[in-house]
Amino acid sequence: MKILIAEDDNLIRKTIEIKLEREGHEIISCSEGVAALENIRTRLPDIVITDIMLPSASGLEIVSAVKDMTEKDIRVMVLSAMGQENIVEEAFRLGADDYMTKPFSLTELSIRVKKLMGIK
Amino acid sequence: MILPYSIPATTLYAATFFIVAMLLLILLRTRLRLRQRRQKHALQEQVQQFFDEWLSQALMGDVSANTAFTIPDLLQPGRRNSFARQYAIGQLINTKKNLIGLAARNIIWLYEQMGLQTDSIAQFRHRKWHKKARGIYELYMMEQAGMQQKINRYTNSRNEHVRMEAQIAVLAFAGFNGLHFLDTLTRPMSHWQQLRLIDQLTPLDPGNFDHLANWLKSPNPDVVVFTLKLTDLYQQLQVREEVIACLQSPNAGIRAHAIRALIRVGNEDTPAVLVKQYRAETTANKPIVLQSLENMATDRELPFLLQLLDNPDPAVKLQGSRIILKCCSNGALLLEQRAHHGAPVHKQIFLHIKNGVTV
Repeated sequence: MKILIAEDDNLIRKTIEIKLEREGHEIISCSEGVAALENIRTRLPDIVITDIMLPSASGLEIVSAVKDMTEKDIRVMVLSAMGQENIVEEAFRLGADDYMTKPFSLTELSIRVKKLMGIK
Repeated sequence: MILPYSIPATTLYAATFFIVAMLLLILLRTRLRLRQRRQKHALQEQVQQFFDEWLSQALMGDVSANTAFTIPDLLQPGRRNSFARQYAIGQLINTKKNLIGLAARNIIWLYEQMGLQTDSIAQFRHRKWHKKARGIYELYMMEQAGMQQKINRYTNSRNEHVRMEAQIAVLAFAGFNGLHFLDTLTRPMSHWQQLRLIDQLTPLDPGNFDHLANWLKSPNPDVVVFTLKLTDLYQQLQVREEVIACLQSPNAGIRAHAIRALIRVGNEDTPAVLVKQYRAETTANKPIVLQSLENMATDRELPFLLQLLDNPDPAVKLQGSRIILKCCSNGALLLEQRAHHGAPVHKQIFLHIKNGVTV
């Protein structure tokens, strides 16, 4: 599976990246929104894991762009901080498939990614 | 008036020299600052690179006391590396905030393996309040429970920020047992701090409330208000009498919180207590009494509630009508009769609440 991770915190992004790489996924790593959107268009990942708050383009813009794409049915998981429930609601309205609240467990993230893969 | 040609040449030379010297000084200082900033940035990049390449992998593994670990040169303990080590602590805390489970445990392990707790303790022991507060924050974020006793001494610190961090720290270490700092708290506790502490306790299982009665008698009004909030939130019925005693407090804020708490901890006699309280209360607290009565009044309070309908304030009339409709048997009938035979305002109120209140 090709998974795109959009997260501006380097260490969190790298940690998720290593965890999912070890499980055999191909990872595309982005620290800001515009780069993530560009990579989604050009490299067509199977799953996008995106933080809500990103520099240059927000996680909501990414969800919206992914769900507007006709080339491929891409699944989106949103990472949000506690207290951003209304934004998560908006993300689901835009078509997000799953969400996780920070702080999160890497094991749970991995299980949810597998579940998203199963949906496909 | 001083004219240009009247200024001596030596003065002009001196002034020019002074201006040039100042400009050179500014340039030198700017250059030095930029160099320091570049060095700091480079150091940050190196630490970041170390974390990116190594730390994130280490976070995955199952580490233990026997796991071999070598501290990289740039993070070796010592004054020379204090900036890099402080940056590392910041990174670890930031990551720990976002992760739970094994990875979060590994972060603490790494913090301890790198000996970063000595840096946090040094901050905690610093004379400057902001460094002390930062040190406390780092120690509780990294779950250094061994420091609890020492931090506990600062829960009543003269400095507000140190005090706030210390109070949060003892709760982080000991949960509800950490609330014992209320026994000795003599300094103020802001509304914001009270919210932070309650927020911190919310995910925990309700714990030790043995001291609630003592805290409700505290000479510190903020401790009493905070305890009333806890009593209300966790429905601590065993302190009902102490809450009722708070209604006699000269502090209107304490009385307001006690009235609110009684909604949750009151019994069948409480409405009568509140009715008595209403007469003695301030204009600001009277509506709070009525809000509480709306949740607990019975037919026994009907004479008082009917008096409210004759109050010149339409808001009181409306509130009284709401309570009658909600809490008294035949309340709707009583209000309807009043609407037909009383002043036009009663008819308006009756029509207003008839469809607006769910009985």
